[in-house]
Amino acid sequence: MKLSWLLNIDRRIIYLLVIVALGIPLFIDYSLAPAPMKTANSFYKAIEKIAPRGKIVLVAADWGPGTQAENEPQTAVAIEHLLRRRIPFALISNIPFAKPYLEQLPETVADRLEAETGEQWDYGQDWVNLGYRPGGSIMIQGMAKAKDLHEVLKTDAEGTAISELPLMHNVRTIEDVAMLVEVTGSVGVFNSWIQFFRNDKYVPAMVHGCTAITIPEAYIYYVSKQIVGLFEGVAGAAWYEELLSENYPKREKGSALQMMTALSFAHLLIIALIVLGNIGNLAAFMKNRRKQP
Amino acid sequence: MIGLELFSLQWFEIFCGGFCVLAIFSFLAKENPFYRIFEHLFIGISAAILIMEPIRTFLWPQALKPLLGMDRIPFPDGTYPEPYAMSYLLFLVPMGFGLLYYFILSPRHSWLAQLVIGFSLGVGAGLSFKGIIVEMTPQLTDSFRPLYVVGSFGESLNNIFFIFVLLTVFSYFFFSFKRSPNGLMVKSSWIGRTMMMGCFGAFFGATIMARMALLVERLQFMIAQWWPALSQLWR
Amino acid sequence: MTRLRNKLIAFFTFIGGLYFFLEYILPAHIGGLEFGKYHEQISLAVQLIGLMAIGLGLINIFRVHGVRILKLQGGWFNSFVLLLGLAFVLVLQLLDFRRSEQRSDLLLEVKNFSLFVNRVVLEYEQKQIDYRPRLDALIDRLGVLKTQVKNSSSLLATGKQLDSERTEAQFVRSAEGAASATEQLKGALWQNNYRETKKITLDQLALLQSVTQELLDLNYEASPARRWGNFVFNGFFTPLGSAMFSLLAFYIVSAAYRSFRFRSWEAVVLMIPALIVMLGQIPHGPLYVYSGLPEIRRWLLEYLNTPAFRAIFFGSAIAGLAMSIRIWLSLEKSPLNTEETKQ
Repeated sequence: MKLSWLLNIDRRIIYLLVIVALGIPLFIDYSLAPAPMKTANSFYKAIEKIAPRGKIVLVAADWGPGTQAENEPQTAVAIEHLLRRRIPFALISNIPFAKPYLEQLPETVADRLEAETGEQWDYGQDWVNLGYRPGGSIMIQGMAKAKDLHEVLKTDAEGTAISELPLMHNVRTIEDVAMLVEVTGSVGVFNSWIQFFRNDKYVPAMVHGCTAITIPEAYIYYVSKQIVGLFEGVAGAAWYEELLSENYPKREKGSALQMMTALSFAHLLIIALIVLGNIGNLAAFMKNRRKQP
Repeated sequence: MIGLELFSLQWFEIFCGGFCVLAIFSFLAKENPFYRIFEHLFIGISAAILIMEPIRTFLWPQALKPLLGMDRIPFPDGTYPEPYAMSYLLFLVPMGFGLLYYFILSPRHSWLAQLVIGFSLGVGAGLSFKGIIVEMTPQLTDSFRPLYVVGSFGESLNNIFFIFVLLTVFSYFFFSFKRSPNGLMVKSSWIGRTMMMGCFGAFFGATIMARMALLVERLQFMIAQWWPALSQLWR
Repeated sequence: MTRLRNKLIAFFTFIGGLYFFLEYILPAHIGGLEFGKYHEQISLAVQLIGLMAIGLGLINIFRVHGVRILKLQGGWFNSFVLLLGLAFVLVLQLLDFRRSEQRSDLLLEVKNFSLFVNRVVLEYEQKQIDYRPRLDALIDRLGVLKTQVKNSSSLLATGKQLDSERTEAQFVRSAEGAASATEQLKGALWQNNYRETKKITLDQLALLQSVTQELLDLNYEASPARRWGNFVFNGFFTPLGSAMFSLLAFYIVSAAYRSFRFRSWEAVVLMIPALIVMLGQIPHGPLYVYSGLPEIRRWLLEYLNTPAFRAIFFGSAIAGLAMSIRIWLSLEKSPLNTEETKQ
């Protein structure tokens, strides 16, 4: 049997197979239990350690449409956990394209939780949106070294004075920030937070949500404990959803799980293609050997 | 999409979204004008957001508004809650200096723009001293691992392997010694290269997942939102 | 002359880095001097300098694409679409910006009413400044605000119509309540028995403030600029951005299929970790290959990937540090050097 065609499958057939492999689980709404992630467990434990209604958590959502697929579910599950535990948080971003997500995401999560639990979460009491802040490293260092954050930040994203927001009343310096949740697909932005969000006396605990492409890079910070928790792409968010569902049984399934199932089909397709390519390769090799005397 | 009104703004939002996705995916068949038009539209929108957001969120509220005294709203009788702070006039110094950037458009006076570009490069360099050292120090201390961990044979082996990989990869980039054929450095750097290949393999595996996630999200949108919205047309 | 310019550029480069370098290496306090005392102001100034360049991008876009359109060069229509998208979003953003500014200014004005009443009473007590024209001005202003809000009701979105109408009625009631309380305060001040009335007035103004915030939020969300801005973002920008990046998924599958072949030792070394990383994150279920894979994947990332990448990181970090010193001290031959550029 001639197997050399396996060496050169037309790219359009490959593209079609990709769409079919990803589309099937989405069409039939099929989802599997996610693979366990130790790094996401650490993330969960880190948030569990923070006292409710105490210091705030700063959520840096440094992402836009380009990495929305991975960073949005990560930010959503982190926000959900913070809201459930009544840990006040402030959203901020270094990326101008994040602005609409900063407005919509906490509202959407809070609405879902309100429908599930009957409790209420309010802007200004449970979370604030500090919006997009330009300046990169200088802005981050400016916040970290500020003697009064109210003076540095001045207003929230909608122009309301920081001093008017009940959640921010007692937040004056970096020492009032218990943790930084940094979610991004950009290594440069992540490095800026690692490098500059600290002062001489205090470094807040830091957890990170990265896109899968930067997992190997993010690991070096996880191993050195510069970050105490990590979301490894959408797989991390999917496992975190599982952890939340275990602890809050009434919780509805999120989209990360279904996404992860579709991704698994795609991975299996890739592995199958690699195997086929190698079979073709082997067949060509054998054929060449037979031709040679 | 239950409850989505046909031809409402939200319906058009989803309809246009799906249309954009199809336009971009048309590139997979071949390069075509349809794709190019939408690509340029994306660049135009991005540019507008990139220009306006820093003005809205920083330049106006933090500098221009206080400088022009417009952050003070008068009381009903025309008096002001507080007097104008003359210190805001100091903003004119960095703003004036920053305006030197525009001399880059003049071939004769472009050196004036180089003053401010140089200044910004200097700021970046000054910040990087702290940045690099703060970032690197914990990595360095974590790399000094005990080769023998009491009571844990596995941990000891892991640490030995860790140090082994670190040193062999280092040796690949180390050019201060003369490398004799079949010498220790040559062998070590060959192992280092192999270890790096393994590391890049892990990067590749992770990259596949990242790219796939983006596609899944778009397909999710097309299947769960766009198609139901579109099918409202003939329902 | 060129030499002098280069020295000047080198000087500015050095000055640029000096503060941030010293701020890191020097202790916070040297004797009685606090080194980072003006850190906030210096940071603000540096950010301002950088942001002034923002118009350059706009000028360049218009230069490149405007010329292409005017000369009807190849791809002129694409350039036209680019500028159209840019102009449309700029206009929407400006309108939205104006609306959001009006909202925050109005909110601040209403918030200041309480401050104003306190000040009027205090200045009457301490300096005998006539309170009547000042409180009349407040009553007049409350009347004007009531009309303004009625005029803006035409902008309300259909979805939130009921909410808005209810809040608007609440606003009108609280503005009338505040006006009547202020009127009573005037009378009470005349009788010199105003403590209780002043408290009632301040309470009414606080209520007005919270209702105003609610109403302005609703009106702002419903404003056309805001809704069309969201439409462009959700209907064009997000799908285009996501789709463009997701195109890479197709190419990476094709690349994996073509490159992972058992042709050499290196290809195998590259392939095995890639497969482990991929398989290690696959969910449980019928597709699951081996339950120990996530742990193997973690081990690989922690004990092979981390030291290998860390070694590369140390090298690049030290190189980065050396490069920073060279840039800071202008030792690096750079395109900024006008003498060299001219040569």
